[in-house]
Amino acid sequence: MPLPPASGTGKYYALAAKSIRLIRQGCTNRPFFHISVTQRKRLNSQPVIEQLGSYDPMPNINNEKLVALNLERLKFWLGQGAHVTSPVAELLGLTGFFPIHPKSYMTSWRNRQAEQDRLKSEKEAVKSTA
Amino acid sequence: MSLLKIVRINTKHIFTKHNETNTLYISNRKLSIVPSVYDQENPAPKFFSSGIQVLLKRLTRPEFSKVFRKRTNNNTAVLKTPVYKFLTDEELNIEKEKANTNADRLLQMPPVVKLHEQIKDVLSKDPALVGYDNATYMFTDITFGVANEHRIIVQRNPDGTLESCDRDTRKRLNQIYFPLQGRKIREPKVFSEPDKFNGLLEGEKYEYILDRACVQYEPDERKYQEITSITYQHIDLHSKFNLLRSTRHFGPMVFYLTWHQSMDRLMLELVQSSVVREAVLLAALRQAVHNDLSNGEDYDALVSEILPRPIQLTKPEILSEEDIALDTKCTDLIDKYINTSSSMKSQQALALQGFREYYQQVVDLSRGLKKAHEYRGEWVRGKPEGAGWRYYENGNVYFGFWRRGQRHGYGKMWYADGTFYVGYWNMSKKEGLGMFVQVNGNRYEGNWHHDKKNGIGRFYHLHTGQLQEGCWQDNVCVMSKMSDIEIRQFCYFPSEYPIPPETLLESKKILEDSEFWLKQQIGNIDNKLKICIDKM
Repeated sequence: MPLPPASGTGKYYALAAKSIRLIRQGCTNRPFFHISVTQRKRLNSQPVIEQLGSYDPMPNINNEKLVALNLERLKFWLGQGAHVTSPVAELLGLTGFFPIHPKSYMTSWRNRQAEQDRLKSEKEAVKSTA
Repeated sequence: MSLLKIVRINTKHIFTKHNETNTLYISNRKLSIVPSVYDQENPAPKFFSSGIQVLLKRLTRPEFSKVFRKRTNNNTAVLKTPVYKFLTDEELNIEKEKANTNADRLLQMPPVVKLHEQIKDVLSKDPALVGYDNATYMFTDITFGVANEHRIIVQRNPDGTLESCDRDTRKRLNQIYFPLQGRKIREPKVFSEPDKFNGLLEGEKYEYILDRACVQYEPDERKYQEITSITYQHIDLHSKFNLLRSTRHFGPMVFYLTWHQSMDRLMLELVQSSVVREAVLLAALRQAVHNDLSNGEDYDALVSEILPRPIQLTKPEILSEEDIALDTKCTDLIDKYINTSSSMKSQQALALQGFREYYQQVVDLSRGLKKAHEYRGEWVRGKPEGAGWRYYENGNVYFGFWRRGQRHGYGKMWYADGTFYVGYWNMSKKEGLGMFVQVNGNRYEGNWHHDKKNGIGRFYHLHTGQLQEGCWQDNVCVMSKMSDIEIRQFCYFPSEYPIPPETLLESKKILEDSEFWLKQQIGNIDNKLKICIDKM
């Protein structure tokens, strides 16, 4: 099925609530997301109002995750009062466009903790074997 | 300077790798050319200045058969059916204008600019984000209508810093989201593998290399400048300048060689192929770039003389006097240049000597040809005397006898306006018996004096069918008798009524004497003219 144009094909009501969210477009075992604005009550499988960018969560050969953002249109839809879902807000926080999302801090703190625990347990394992 | 570098680097390799003969050979071959990039002074202001651009374009010597040659290109059909048309002069001029603008487009030179500087721009540091992810997040602003170089592209590193991307990453991401046709995201092997690159150089695929480099790299990238530098030096070493002529890369190459003070081999090639005018332009380019020649004003003056002249694509066979004067000036100036500022004095002096000898031959030939075009025939003491042809500059042609450079004796003259004279001449003037035919066929037969009708003669009005017999004085008929000729009815515009036969007795008496006299005289002319016309 060919992709719809980035300008979107979905019909929408001017006064209805909009949301900017990640919509999964990849295939099995290969996630790929569009950052799109759509009516809040619509399903992700339904046509969107407009695509604002893309996010590839799988690191490429250079260990990079690529995010594309149409900042001009993003600003427009934010001005229209669109709601931003937390995954998108996290990305925008990392960009420097939004303040860093609290969830990001929590994730990184948890990751650091997990790493410390792992190191600790490894050390103990080494001691016990010795 | 570059030679010193070569020697230094080669010796280093010889010292370090003297035991590995194989490596030594390859490294030697690879490193025999040391790339030099524009990393000190910015060359752009000089390269883009109008004076230098004009010089570079002229030195490119665009030949349309090469500029518009057939190319194997994915997008355009290789073979197009040519269209032949009849055009008026105006239409032809329009077509020529179009061809010129097209050629300008095809010959646009890749810019020569300074090496770019690395971007170091940290936007924020957030140590609390350490551990969020192991990968780097790359953010690209894909807002419509922003140029590649102004696009916002930032990265969030695993240690939590947010910074602008460096040049290479920017280029890669731009290529991912806004691909340029022909540019590859991974560097092509021809550029990344030295063996393949050397193979192309050995195969003299210079234009291919440069075109490919233009597409793959930006002109301010180090890699681009290194590749072009090696290619230019390779061309220079092997004097293969002709391969790059009429292409857009010739200007930057000349600029590169001039910038690095190594344009003497090009100068030698120009003198050897006897294009002294371009040699002067090249010296003027050096003067404009470095300002290190002693007599700079002479070059500027001569360049302003050379530029309005048409481009010499082939060696001229016939020279006008103006050309000869200009070329002599050019030769003298180049002679001075070679003696004062050249680094290949002996070879260039030899080439210039060769050119001078060749040029003298061409001058002699063209001057001789000119003389031959003017007069062909017998000569006595440096002047035409005897029988000969002469082509005048205004288009007249004379064939007949000459004396001391003047038309003298029997001869025929075809005038440029279509009239014709056959008869006798005296010191370039019509004198004695002769026949003069006008364009419409009317003719005068009779006596001439001082280039004018003088004396007894007859004039045939062939378009109306009359014959006028009489006496002329300084082109004016003073006394004549008109009569019909037998074919009056068959003329283009016969007179309405025939001239009636003489009826008046008195008039007959009056005319009798003069007519008898006239007839006697004309009878004499008839005999003489018969001889004259028989000769024709």
